[in-house]
Amino acid sequence: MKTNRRNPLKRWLFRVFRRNETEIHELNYLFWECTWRCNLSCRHCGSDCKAESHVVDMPFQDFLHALEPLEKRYKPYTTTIAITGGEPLLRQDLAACGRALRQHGFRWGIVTNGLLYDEARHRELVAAGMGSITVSLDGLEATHNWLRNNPHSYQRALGALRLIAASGQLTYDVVTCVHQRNLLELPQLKEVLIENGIRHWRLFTIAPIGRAAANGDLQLTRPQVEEMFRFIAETRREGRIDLKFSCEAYTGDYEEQVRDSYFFCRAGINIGSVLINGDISACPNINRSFVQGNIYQDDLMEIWDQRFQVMRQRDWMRCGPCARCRDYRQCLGGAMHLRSAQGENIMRCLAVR
Amino acid sequence: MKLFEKIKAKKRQLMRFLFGSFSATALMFTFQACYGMPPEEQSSIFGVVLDAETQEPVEGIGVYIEGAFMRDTTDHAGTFGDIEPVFVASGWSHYQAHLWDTDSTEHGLYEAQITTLSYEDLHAPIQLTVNRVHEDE
Repeated sequence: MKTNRRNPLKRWLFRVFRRNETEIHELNYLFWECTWRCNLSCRHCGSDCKAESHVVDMPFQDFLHALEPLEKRYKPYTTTIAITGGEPLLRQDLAACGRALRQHGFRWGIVTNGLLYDEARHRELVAAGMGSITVSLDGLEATHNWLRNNPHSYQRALGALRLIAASGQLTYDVVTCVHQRNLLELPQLKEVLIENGIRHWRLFTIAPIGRAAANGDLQLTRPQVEEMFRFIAETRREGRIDLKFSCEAYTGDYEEQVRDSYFFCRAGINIGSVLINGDISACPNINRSFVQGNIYQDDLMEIWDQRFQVMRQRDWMRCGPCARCRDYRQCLGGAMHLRSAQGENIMRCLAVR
Repeated sequence: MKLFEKIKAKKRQLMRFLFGSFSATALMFTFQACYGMPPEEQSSIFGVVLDAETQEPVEGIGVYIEGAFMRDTTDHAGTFGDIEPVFVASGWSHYQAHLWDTDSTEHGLYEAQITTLSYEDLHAPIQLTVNRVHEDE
């Protein structure tokens, strides 16, 4: 059942809310790309990280220093630091970094492939005040290991998820990148997650960026996208597991069925990032041509206040297919990571009508 | 011009408050970045401070809970707490509530003390007690 044309009042209220949030643009969510090293070489990697990166990890003190103006501006509990990479667990000082963030009042968590997440690491990170975690699981064993290019990846990721779910100490979810090989496995994967006590699940599609750009087979066709939306909507109605579609794209007629709220790309509105070389941007998967400053030369909050107009005034996105789209008002041109540069058309649209 | 900007900013914050006050839209504030992890759970922390001997509420007691970033002073009903969501670090094995007398003898003189709480304690109304310093001591 499609519902996009229902609830016009709710959709109008949402647009008012979005406009207001854009005007306030409070920095509530900050990515820290702490390393480019990775212990996997996934076929779909959006950042193209490598096992032996020539780029050295950012010293934690540099990042902490950059946070000082943010700390002065906001109440500590209103900002979450998402530690990402590369693979953040490769940093031996991760717990020490997290503990220091916690002492400064920030909430923090990590996005990980789970390969190095064992009980000892779990205890260490929880004791350092980690509050949330996301682990990737991209299908059943053979498919996940194929995509991740590692024969042990599935068992390790599932083991990590079991540990996290059973501990009850963390807010968590499992993310699955949906592609042509695992789409039909989703019902089985759902049962595996439920059997293992995992209650929070989020689906992505694979954006044609980074290493995935060269792997055309990973992109879903339009009917497959709709099939995925139907699966999400049915699973949500069923209520056995908390499943949602990530906020990566406007879904058209499925907006009210696949997520808790409408699509809202908050890049540069509530979401910022400090990248591995100190560059200041929004989400780390956004094209690096959108970098707004650098912590080694600029004050993070001055950049946040005075730049980022390209993400807060998105009229320029109304080009190409978006120019004629009847849903533009609701979608505002889609997610920032799907634009390769200012003025470029959207790489792909997932809206189903 | 500055006044106009100030009024606009106030209006935006008021609208934010109104949106946040309606449960149907509260979800909009608990967003997660599409490639990030989910937002950590938040809770409100509140409770009451009682005289250990009489079990009567005590006004003017400062309360600070480590790990929960909560600082307040009890009111005439002995209650303290944050109406705003408070971050509670779930990884800590225990939390310490520091209590001290903020107004000397105005509402009775009480000893400073530290009480240990569990994570679960923070998710229900907290009851703390303080010992009165008797004049003959």
